[in-house]
Amino acid sequence: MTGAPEQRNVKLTSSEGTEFKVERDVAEKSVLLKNMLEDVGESDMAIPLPNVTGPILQKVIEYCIHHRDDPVPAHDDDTKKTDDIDDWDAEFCKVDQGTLYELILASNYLDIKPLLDLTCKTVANMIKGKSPEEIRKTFNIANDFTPEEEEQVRRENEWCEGR
Amino acid sequence: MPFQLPYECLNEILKNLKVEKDLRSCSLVNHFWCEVSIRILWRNIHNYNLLIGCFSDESKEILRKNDIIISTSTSKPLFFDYIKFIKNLSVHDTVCGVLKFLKDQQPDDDNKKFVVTQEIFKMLMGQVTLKKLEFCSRRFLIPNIPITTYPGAKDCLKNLSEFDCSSNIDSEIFYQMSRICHNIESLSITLEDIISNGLAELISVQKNLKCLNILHESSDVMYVPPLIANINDTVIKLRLEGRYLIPLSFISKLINLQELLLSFRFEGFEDMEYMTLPNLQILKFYYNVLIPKPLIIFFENSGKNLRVLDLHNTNDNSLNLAVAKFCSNLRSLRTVILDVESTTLKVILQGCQKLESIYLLCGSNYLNESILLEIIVNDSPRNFHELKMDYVGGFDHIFFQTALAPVFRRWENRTPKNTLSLFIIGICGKSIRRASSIVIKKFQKSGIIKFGTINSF
Repeated sequence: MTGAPEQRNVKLTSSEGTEFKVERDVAEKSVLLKNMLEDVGESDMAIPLPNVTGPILQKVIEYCIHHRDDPVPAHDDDTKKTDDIDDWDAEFCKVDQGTLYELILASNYLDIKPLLDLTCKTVANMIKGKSPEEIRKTFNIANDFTPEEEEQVRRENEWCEGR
Repeated sequence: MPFQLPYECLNEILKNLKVEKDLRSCSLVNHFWCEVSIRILWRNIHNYNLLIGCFSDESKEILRKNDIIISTSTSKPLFFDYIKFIKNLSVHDTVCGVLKFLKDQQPDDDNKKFVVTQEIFKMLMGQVTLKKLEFCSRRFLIPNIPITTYPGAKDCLKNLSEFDCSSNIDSEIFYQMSRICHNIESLSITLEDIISNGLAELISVQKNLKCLNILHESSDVMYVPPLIANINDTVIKLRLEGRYLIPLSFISKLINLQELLLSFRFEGFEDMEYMTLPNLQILKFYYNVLIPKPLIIFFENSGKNLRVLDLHNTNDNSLNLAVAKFCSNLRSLRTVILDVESTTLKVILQGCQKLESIYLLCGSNYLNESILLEIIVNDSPRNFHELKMDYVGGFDHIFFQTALAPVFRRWENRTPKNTLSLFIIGICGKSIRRASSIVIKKFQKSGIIKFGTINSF
């Protein structure tokens, strides 16, 4: 790892108890950890992350190291596009669906907005252009609508057909 | 493994879907997906027939008295209370929606248009909490609608975070909004010949304003400074656009500004000489900068933190050298370098060691492709990975047919190994692709380069 040599490491513990050491600026890509570190101050105590498994935490750290020098996003941009994923990020997201799903949960829990955006865009790209049945099949979802309910939702929103 | 995510995560995913048909497909997946996607789909009003069908009996009676016929086919309750989901409201779009609704009922009747539009606003003010409001009176097809006077307006507007307005809407609306809306984060104002009283107050009471866009359409620029005299320094993104340059001195007080976008033709931006913006990361000009000196001084004072700089087609060697000297943290640069000044490119690459992307003009008396690629391969910093070549004149056929492969081979030998994204901008793109198709395919396949063409940029 590169970075300021005088930086202190931060210890993180995954749900199975595996300990990870990361430099503070990497850990602070997570707003949750940044706030915790500011509240606690200097400490050698490991921060437990009971909601994140070791392999997922490893992936999250990999992402944060790669993006450690990125500027903090200036504001929440509602005009975001799903086709602007850069090469490294696209490669990073080439994982099985379960891992992608856990990365979304972890980035949401750790409050790492760029990683949450990236993983959500990746899933959104898997949805685009698909029919309801194809979406169910892709994500293994059961249809719990009655035929009448499904028809009513379809009818009330048929205005956007073809848009 | 079933794909189950909490509400907020699925919401984040589906917010990325910009095509309504995709959201509609999601709404038919199951109850959970339906709940999330319908709320996103109905942030904007689309279906005016359904909306008008939800009018109160009192509103329906008013329509009837004005000879406006509404369908009464909705005997069954709706699957959702769709109106509650509306977060974004455009006065202009609403009037257009009303016109469509009235298409078989004398849509040119101004009174009918006004009555239906007014009842829609009355209903919405009483039931929704808006996040975004667009209120540009110059686009109106009917007179001003006093939205702030309807019952419930205070609750409807108090959480407004985005407001897009023209300067000439009724003063009373601005005054009322100044009292109600204090948390606007993004404000876009089109300055017309008339500036209604109350607009300056609305701007000054915003304590959390982050993004300000001003489109200036009048030739009289002197009324602009008093309008924004009391703007808060919370603004981090500022876009100014117009036919005539407005005085920029007010920007000096926006010490938290991170992004500045300036779109004025034939200007020197003299005020920039006296500005210090320590947090500025992005600076873009949409037209050429005519006088380099003020900008050079600005770079000296505030260039250190710049990450993105777009000088459009400004052609000035002293400006380029100032970029190299004062903007050492740049990641992305667009500028112009003449063929005879190609050493300036080396100086920039040496001075901006974090540069990842550059956009340059090529052909004619601008940089020659052979020299440009040679310098990029030999002198670009370690994280450099994107070159955009905008062709003004013709390109060198022989170079692209015979000399491209050795350049790519040398790129392949660089450390670290970054894929070079090469974009050709202009009508030459297809011809260049044809001239060097075998080389491009070969090096693309091995991940050494990416190649793309863009017709205009």
